[in-house]
Amino acid sequence: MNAQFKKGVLELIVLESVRKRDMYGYELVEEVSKVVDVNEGTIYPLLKRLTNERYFETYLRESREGPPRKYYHVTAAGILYRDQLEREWTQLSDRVWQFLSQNGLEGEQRTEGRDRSE
Amino acid sequence: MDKREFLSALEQSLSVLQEDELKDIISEYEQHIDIKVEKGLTEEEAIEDFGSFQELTAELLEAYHVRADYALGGKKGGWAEKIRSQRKKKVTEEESSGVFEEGGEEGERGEPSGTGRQMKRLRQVLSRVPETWRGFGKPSGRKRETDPEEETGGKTREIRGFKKLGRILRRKEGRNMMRDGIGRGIRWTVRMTVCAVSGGVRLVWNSCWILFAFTAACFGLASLYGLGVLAVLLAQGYPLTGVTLGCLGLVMCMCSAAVFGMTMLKRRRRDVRKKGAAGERRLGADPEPEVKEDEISQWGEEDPDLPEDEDRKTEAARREEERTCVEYIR
Repeated sequence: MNAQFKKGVLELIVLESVRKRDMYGYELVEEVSKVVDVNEGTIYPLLKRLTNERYFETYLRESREGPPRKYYHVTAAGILYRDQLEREWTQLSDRVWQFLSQNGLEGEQRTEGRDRSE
Repeated sequence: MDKREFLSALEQSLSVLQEDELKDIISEYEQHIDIKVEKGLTEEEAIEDFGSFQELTAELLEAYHVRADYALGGKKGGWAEKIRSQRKKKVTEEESSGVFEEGGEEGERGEPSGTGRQMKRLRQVLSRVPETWRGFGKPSGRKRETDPEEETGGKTREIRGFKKLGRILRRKEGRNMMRDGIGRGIRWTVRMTVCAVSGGVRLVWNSCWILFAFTAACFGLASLYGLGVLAVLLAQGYPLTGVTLGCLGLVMCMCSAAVFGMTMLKRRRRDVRKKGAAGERRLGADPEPEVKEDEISQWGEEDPDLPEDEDRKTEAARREEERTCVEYIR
């Protein structure tokens, strides 16, 4: 898939995943990988950025194996931001879809017209 | 590149960040690699999944709004160019010992730079060089640009050259440090004596004014007491109006004198202010602002936020219903 496509919606996917349930880094990487095939290293910078922008807050929780894990929790600002992103996404995809299907229709009409003229 | 190498390389290229942030990121990646290793991958494979190292660090720095090439001193042409410029420098260095002064003239970067910074950067690069060579041995395609001439031609000679340069650098650094140490010592003693003298003067000044304010306050209290007594007598009908008014004036005068004395205190530093004012006021120290992080961690440890989860579930269910409805309508 186009890397630019992925990059745009990655934020939305990450926000949505954390909104459903608090997660730690690795878990989140796995979750996101289910949706889009993404480079694992790029999730962490994104998490950092969203945390720096106060869309996430973090806390440590003990794990059964290994050191305590840092969990991410979405803030109110994060939820608002997610909703905004979702709106933008649906709007964009609607428009693109509309555009594509409109072109398709025109194409069909054109071919129909040609058929008739023939 | 194994885990240790990867983490140290990461640490080096993110060295502009604050230490706790740096530790945070390093531990995140370490944990990620550990989990992957537990699941049966090798460290190399786990690191390979991160993709290009340069891109990774660039993105991390971008998350902090730091220019990605800051740590490398605004480099242009990647590793190959860096090494080439190093070699050039080495050649000039063998002819004359004044390599650090010449570093700026070589025009590797447009802007002029101090010798100290130059040296620091040089050392940084030197410490990275062994890693780069190790990287060359492996066929895996890291995105470091290497030109074939370098890969084939005289690795050992190159390494020896770098080692030598490193030795010379270290020796020079040692000498500088000694000179710096003496200078710093003198500066330190001067600063300390100035501090001590000014502190003594301030102490005497402050104690004088405190004494003055204290006496004034005592007189003020005494006159207040007198005022009370006179007021009672006045109320009983004695002809003491003038004396009472005079007493009132005395109270006010003394109070203002006490306040004036307190304002004359010299308080340049925080501890001095505390010392000077401890007797008179500021007894009710303002409460420490509560730390938000504590709350977060407490909340995180105590309960696994069940009600919220439930809320979310119901919300999710509701959304699901809505979605099915919409689909049905369609």
